Amino acid sequence: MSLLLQTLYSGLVNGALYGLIGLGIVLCYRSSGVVNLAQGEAFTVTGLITAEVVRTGVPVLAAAALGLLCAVLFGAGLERIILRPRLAWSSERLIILVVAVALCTEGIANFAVGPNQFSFRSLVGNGTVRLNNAVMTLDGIVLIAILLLVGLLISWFLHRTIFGQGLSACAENPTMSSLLGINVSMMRMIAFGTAGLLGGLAALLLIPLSIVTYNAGLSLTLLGYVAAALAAMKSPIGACLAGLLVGVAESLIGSYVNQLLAEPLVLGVLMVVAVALLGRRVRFGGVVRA
Amino acid sequence: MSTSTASAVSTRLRSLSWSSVAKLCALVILVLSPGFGIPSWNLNTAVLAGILGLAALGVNVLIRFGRMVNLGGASFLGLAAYGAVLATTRFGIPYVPAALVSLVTAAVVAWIAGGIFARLPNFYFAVAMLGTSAAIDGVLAAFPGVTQGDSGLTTTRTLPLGLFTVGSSLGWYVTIVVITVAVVPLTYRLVHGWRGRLFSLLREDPMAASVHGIEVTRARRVLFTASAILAALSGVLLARWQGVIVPQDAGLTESVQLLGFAIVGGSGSPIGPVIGASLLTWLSAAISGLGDVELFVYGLIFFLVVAYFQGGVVGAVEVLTSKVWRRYRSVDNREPDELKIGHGSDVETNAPMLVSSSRLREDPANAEIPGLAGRLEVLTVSKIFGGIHALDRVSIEARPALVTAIVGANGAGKSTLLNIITGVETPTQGEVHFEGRCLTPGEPVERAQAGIARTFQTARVALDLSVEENVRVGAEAIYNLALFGRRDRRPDNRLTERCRDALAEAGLGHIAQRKTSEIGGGRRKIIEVARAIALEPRLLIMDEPGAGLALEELARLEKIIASLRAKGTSVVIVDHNLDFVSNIADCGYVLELGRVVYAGDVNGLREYMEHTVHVTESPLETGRHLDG
Repeated sequence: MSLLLQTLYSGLVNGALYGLIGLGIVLCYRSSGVVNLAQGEAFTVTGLITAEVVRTGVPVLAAAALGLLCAVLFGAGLERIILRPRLAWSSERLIILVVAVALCTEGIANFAVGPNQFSFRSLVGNGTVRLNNAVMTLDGIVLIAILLLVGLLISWFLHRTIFGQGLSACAENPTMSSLLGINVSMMRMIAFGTAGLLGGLAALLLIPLSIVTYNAGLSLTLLGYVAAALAAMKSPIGACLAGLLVGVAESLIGSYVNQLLAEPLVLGVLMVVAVALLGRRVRFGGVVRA
Repeated sequence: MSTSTASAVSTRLRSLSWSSVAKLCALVILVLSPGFGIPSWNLNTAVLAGILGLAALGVNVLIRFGRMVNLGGASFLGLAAYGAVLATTRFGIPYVPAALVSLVTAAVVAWIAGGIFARLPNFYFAVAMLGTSAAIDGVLAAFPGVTQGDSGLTTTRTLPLGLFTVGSSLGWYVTIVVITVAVVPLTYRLVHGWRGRLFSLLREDPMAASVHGIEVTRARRVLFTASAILAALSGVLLARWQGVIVPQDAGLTESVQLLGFAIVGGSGSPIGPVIGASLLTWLSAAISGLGDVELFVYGLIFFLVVAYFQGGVVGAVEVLTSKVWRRYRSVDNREPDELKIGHGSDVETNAPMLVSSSRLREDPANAEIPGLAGRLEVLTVSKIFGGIHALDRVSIEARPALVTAIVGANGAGKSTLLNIITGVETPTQGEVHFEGRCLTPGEPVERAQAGIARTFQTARVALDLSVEENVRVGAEAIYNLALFGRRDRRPDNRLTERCRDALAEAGLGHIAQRKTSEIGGGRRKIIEVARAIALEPRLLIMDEPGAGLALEELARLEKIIASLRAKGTSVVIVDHNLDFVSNIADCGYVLELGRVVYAGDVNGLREYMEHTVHVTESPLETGRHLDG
C-alpha cells in the first residue's frame, strides 16, 4: 500500500513537471501554430542558472528569481528575436529552426557548466508529509498545486477574457486578428514568455528533489509534448491532467515492471495514442483546405 | 526553328558539361581529400562521415521531397544495427544475409509505421519521430540480457562481403565511397523524370496533388520507407565499423545530428548531406580534445545555417560559383535565349487551332459517348458546419457537352459544394453521383481516377517546375503511378502528345520551358486549366476560372471551354462574373444561403440575378469563412 502511494505520489510530481511543460507547449502552439521544441530548455536555463548563482553564495530565493527571469527572457526572446522575423517560413523550416535553438541552448549550457549534475536547496523548506508510510515532500505538493492552479488560471484566461480569446485568434488567422486590432506579435511574445515562466517554475520546484544536466531539455520537451498532444494541443487544463497521467503511468511501470523501461514505454505507447488522436482528422498532410 | 532548337540544345549541352565537369572534379577532390594531410581528416574520420552520410541522405530525402522533418532518423539506424549484430553473434548467421534481412525488416517496419506517421502534419510527424527515437534508445538499454545495455553489443570490425573481407581503413573507405556513389544517384533519380514531378507537386501543394490523383499519404509513406532503408544501411555498416553498437546510436542526439548533417551540408543538393556529414564529423574530431565545446560549436553552426543560410554549404558554393560564372559568360549567353523565345511564340500561334480541330475529329472518346459519360448528379446534399447550413438539400446536375454555371454571392455555399463534388469535404447528407456511380464519401484521388478534373480559385501549381512539367504531372499522376503500386501504365509517347496538345490549346507552347515561378498569376490559372485538359477528363470543374485573368487570357479560356464542350466534356463553372458566365454557360444554378434558388438556362439565370433582390449577407461570412 505504501509502495503504491509512494509510486503515485512521485508519479504525480513528475507528472506535474510534464504538465507544466505541456502547458507551455499548448500556449505557444495556440498563439503561433509552432510546436515549441525548445520548451524544455527553459527548465534547463532556470535550473542551471539558479544552481550556479547559489554556488557563489547568493541566497537561494534571489538566485531563483534571477533564474526565473532568465527563463521568461529565454521564452520571450525566442519569439521576438528568432521566430518573429521568420513566421512566414514553411513549417518544416520552422521545425528545424526550433530544434536548432534547442540544440544550441544545450551546447551553450554544456560549454558553460560542463557535463556535471546540478541541484540546489529547496525554496519551500525541506518539510515532508507522511501518509501511511509514504513520504511526500513539500516541494512536490507545491508543484502539483501550482500546476493545477496555473492550469485553471490559464484556462480561465484563454476562454473567459477578451485578451485570452485574442491570443487564440492569433494562431487561427494572424492577419485577421491584427486587422481586428489585436497586437498579434505582442500576444505571441507574452505566450512564449509565459511558457518560459512555466518551465522555470517547474525547475525551481523539481530540481531540489532531483538534479539537472545540460541535456535535460529535449527529453523533457518530448514528455511535455505527449501531454500536450493528448490534450489535442488545445486545452490547457487537459494538458495538465495529461501530464499527471503520463507521470503516473511512468512511475507505475517503473515500480512494478521495470525501472529502465518506464520512460521508453510511456513515450512509445502514449506517443502512438497521441499521434493517432491528432492524426485522425488530418488530410492532405495537414495542409489547409482549398 | 530547327536551327534555333539545335543551337539551344548545343548551348545547353555546353553549359551542362562544363558545370558537371567542375562538379565531378570537386567530387574527386573530396573523395581524395583524406589523403591530403588535413589535421583530423584521415581515413577513419572519413569512413565514419561516409557511413553517417548515408543516414543523413535518408533524412534529406524526406525533407526535400515530402517536407517531412525526420527528427528520429537514428531510429532505424539503431534498430537495423542491433538486428544485424544480434543475428550474427547470437544465431551465427553470416554478415551479408544478416544485413540484408535487417534492411528488409527495416523496410517492412517502416512501411507499416509509415501508415500511422505519414498522415501526420509536419510538426506532429517531427515530434513523433523524435519520440520514437528516444523510445528505441530506452528500450534497447532496458534489456541488458539481450542488448548488453548501455555498454552495447560488440562485434568484429570487419566487413565480410562473401568473396573478400574488408578490414583495413583504406578498404573500408573504398567500400563506403562505392556505396555512396551507388546510392546518391538513386536518391537523385527521385528528383528527375516523372517521379520528381509528382513529388514536386506533392511538396508544393498536397491538396492539388490529391485532386490530381496522387495519393498523398501513400507517397509520403514511400519516402518514409526509402529514408528508413538508407538509415538501416548506415546502421548495419556503422555497427561493423565501430565494432560496437550502443543504444545512444538510435537516440535523440544522434537523430538531431543526422538532421544537422543534411541541413548544414545543404538539403537542396543530392550530395549535400554527405558533405555536411564530412564537414561536421571532421569538425567534431578536430575539436574533440578541447573539452565541452563539441556540442556548443555543433549547435551554433546548425543554428546559424538554419536561421541565416538556408542553402547550407553546397548552396553557398553554388551561389558563389554561379556569380562568378555569370560574370564570366555574361556576354555570349543572352542572345540565343531571346531568339529562342521569339521563334517559339511564332510556332505557337499557328499550332493550337490545328491541333484541337484534329483532335476533335479523331478523338475516340468523342465517337463513343454513352448516355452517362460525364454526367454529374448532386442529390440533396447538405453540409452543416457547427450548426450553420452551408448547404441545404442542394441538387444539381451537369450533363456532357454542356457548360453548367453555379452562381451565388460569397458564402452562398459555392465552394463548399465544389469541395464536396471533388471529395475535399464530405457531405453531412446526400450523395454525389458521377456516371451513375455514387462517389460519396470518398477521397479526391478517387474522383481524379473516375475522370473528374478540377481547377482552383487561385492556381495551385508547383512553382519550381516548368510550365510543361506542371501540365505533365497531372496526367502522369493518373496513368503512371507504378511507384505507388498501380499498374495502369500507358505508353509514354501518348502522354507526351497529350501534354503538347494541352499546352498548345492553352496557348502556353512558347513558355512551356519557363519556370512557373516566373509566370504571372493569371497565366498560372491557365496552366492549371491545361493540366486539367491533359487529364482528358469527362467532367471538368472550375472554381472561379475567370477571376484575375487579363482580357486576352479570358478569351483564351472561353475558347478552351468551348472546345471542351464541343468534345462532349461536361464543364461546371463556379463564378460570380455574370458577363463571363452568360458568355460561355448553357445553363446554371443560383445558390443563396446554401439553397438552390434558380435552376434553368443561362438567359433566365442572368435575368434572375439582375431582377431579384438577393440576400448577400450570409451567416457564413460572419462566421467561418470557407471560400479561401
